[in-house]
Amino acid sequence: MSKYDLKDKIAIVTGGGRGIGKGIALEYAKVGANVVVASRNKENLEEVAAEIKALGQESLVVVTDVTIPEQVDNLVKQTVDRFGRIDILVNNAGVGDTMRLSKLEELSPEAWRATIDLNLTGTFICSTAVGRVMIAQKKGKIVNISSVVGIYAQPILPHYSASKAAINSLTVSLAMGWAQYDINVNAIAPGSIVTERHHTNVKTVADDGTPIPRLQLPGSTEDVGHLAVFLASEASDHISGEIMGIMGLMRT
Amino acid sequence: MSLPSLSLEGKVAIVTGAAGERGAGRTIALTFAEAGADVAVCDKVADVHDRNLGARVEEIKQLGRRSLAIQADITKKSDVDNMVKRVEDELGPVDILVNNAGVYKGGTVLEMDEESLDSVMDVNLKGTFLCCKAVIKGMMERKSGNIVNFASINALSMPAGSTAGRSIYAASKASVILVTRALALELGSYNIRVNAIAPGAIETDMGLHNRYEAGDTARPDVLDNPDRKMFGPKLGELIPLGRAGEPSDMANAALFLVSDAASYITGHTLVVDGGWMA
Repeated sequence: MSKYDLKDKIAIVTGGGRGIGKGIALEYAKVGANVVVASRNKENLEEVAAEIKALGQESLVVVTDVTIPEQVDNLVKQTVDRFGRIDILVNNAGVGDTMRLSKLEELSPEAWRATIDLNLTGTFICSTAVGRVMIAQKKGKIVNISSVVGIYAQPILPHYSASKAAINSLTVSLAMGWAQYDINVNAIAPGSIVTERHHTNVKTVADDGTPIPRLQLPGSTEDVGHLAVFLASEASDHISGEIMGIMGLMRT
Repeated sequence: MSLPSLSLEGKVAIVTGAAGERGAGRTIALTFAEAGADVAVCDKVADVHDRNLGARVEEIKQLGRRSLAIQADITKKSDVDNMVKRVEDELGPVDILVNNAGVYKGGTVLEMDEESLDSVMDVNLKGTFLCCKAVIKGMMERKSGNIVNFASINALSMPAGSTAGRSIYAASKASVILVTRALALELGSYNIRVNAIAPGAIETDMGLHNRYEAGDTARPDVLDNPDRKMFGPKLGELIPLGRAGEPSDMANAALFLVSDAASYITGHTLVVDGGWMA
């Protein structure tokens, strides 16, 4: 089943220090990829890099703020200097679910701008910087991390929802524009995903003692990692511009 | 090295519309068998020119798996029920159903008569639904199962370069997507996942067979040409990735969707079209 592996591929995962990004980086390493992890937190990145190395793959840590083009250029340069090419980019860096609002009218322009900047502009900056390398290679796979709320907007997260909806649109533009260079661009739209920090809090048994069905529970970072492997592998070579939901029964 | 969970070892699968030598159904069946599944292949015809269920069974057996040929018209409930019963009796409980059987019939609104409308809806909607219904009872009892339905990008849009005359076909495939989503919701608590694949253009013989069944007697001559193509070079210009899909593109997506690697994915319609619709 080698169509589904990433043997000797070079991947960059932004926001790779924790959460979904860490899950993807580790799943990539498990199927043979060498993974460059980037985020603003060096300590987190070094922990993930150590886990990747323990899996027998190479890893590189590049502290990066994806909203700053010079830092992203440095990420690209360090990756190419070390590995010679970039096969896969996962645009995962973004603001999580920490800024829920009780009232839409209380959302400040600063919070709006910060979210759009990190989620959308960061994805744009990384895609174009890495895209230039992939265009020269005439080959590449880009996986953007969107969200269920990028498809079905939520009233409590207008800035987050809008940024993820815009990532879906950017995904389609890049897919169409770069198909001529054999670059596939797709997005993953996760529903509720529990990262390791929250995993012990998940209730898996109902009050009456019956197990809660798997698809009604939050997903895991491994679930998202498996989908990210598929979208980076040869098995998905004819798929581009797709916004792929992974949300259990949250929305069907 | 690969995704840890792509094995279908010990699973039993049914693939409908699988007789054709150059169809997506055959490649899906063989891909599942390579992944470890026993595969029943079903088709309306058992042996007409290069549509040969017996040949498909032999290919699957050569991979070391059990197989079964079932001639069934999926528009008839008795055929479908018999198909599932035979598979359960001879191969075991059905873990996976791929509703690959489908028909295309084009025609403008003025050309599409009532009979054409019924014939397309009968196979694409009713046939898909009947097959789902027939396997679902056992899957619910076992609290485990996987279904992949075949839709089309025409169920979602008419991308640039589409020819006119797709109203009923598109509607039939759109209904497949909505059945997929509704069944995903209905069956998720039984750990049954239901997803769809929406292909763009696939390089198969489906169109050639359709033309033959519509009375084009030239078909055997065409089918004897090993270099035959459904699609001309113009299509490559319309599809961003520059080519029509291959049966293997569908099979790769289908294997992912039915595998444990996709265990949190249900109700999704995966577009496999080279970016055509994007």
